Amino acid sequence: MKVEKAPCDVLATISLAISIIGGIYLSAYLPKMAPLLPAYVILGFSLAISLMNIVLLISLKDISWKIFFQVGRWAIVAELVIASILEFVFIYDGTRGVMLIIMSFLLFLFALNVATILSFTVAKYQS
Amino acid sequence: MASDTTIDMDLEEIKPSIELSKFSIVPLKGIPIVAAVLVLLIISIASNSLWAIDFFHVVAGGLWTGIDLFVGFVIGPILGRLSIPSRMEFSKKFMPKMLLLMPTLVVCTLAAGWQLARHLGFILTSYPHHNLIVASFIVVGVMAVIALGILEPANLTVLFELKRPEPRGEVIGKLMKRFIYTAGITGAMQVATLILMTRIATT
Repeated sequence: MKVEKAPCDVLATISLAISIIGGIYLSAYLPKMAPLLPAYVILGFSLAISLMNIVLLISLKDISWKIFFQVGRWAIVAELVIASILEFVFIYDGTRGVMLIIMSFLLFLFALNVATILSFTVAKYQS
Repeated sequence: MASDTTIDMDLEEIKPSIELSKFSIVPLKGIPIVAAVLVLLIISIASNSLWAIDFFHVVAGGLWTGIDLFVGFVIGPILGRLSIPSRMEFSKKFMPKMLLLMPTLVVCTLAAGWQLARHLGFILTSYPHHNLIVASFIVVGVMAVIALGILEPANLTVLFELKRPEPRGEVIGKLMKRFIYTAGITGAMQVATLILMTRIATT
């Protein structure tokens, strides 16, 4: 698939939106335990779309990987800093167990998807 | 003589585009300031200082809302009426600052806001206006998707485009349209935030 036709930014935005929905869902119940089935479903959807997006990204041949990684490495650092601060807040407030694990995965997917959106968009227009 | 004049003229034409490409996409001087702000944020949360947490939430949240509305409804329309070179000149000075400023304001607002809500008991499901708190999460979620999924990549791509020796006007124009399309939604969400926050503070 040609880079200009690849919907990697759209897929990453959808996965980002789903991970944010998951974060809102869990946060709405804190400090109590949320029913976990919807949280697993949300996490599963977000993860599946992210994995599908990575496969699609790898299959792209005409993308400027140099620019993709140039942007991506700084973007992932910046987003991981943001996600870590939010993770710190949840841990500090006593979130533990499965809720914390799901929240951590959602925050990681948040960081990964934002970095993907930024690096792919720049690389697409510079390729 | 004639060839010298031609070279001079060519250089005059190239000079603006070379000058245009001389800028830093991320203002490196701002990174220590951002780091200091984030360290202070963590200290204020870890020390349970209600004043410091409230300060971070009110200042960062106020700036986030104010800047969003001002850029969307004042700067944006003015920018749209400027000539292309003026827009490029403005963008290369304005956008790198936004790239550092806005994420910092957002993370300070959210982290401090969550802590403030915890201290005041607003996050508890037993809080009578818990629905307003959840509504504020949803509003922030919508703004996050627009900012991170649509606007920030456009901002960054425009900056990379401006770095090129000859920036392509059509690419910049296409990406800048995203700001126009989303200004209404962002504006509505920010007004909703103002209504929700003032309701929470007074009920």
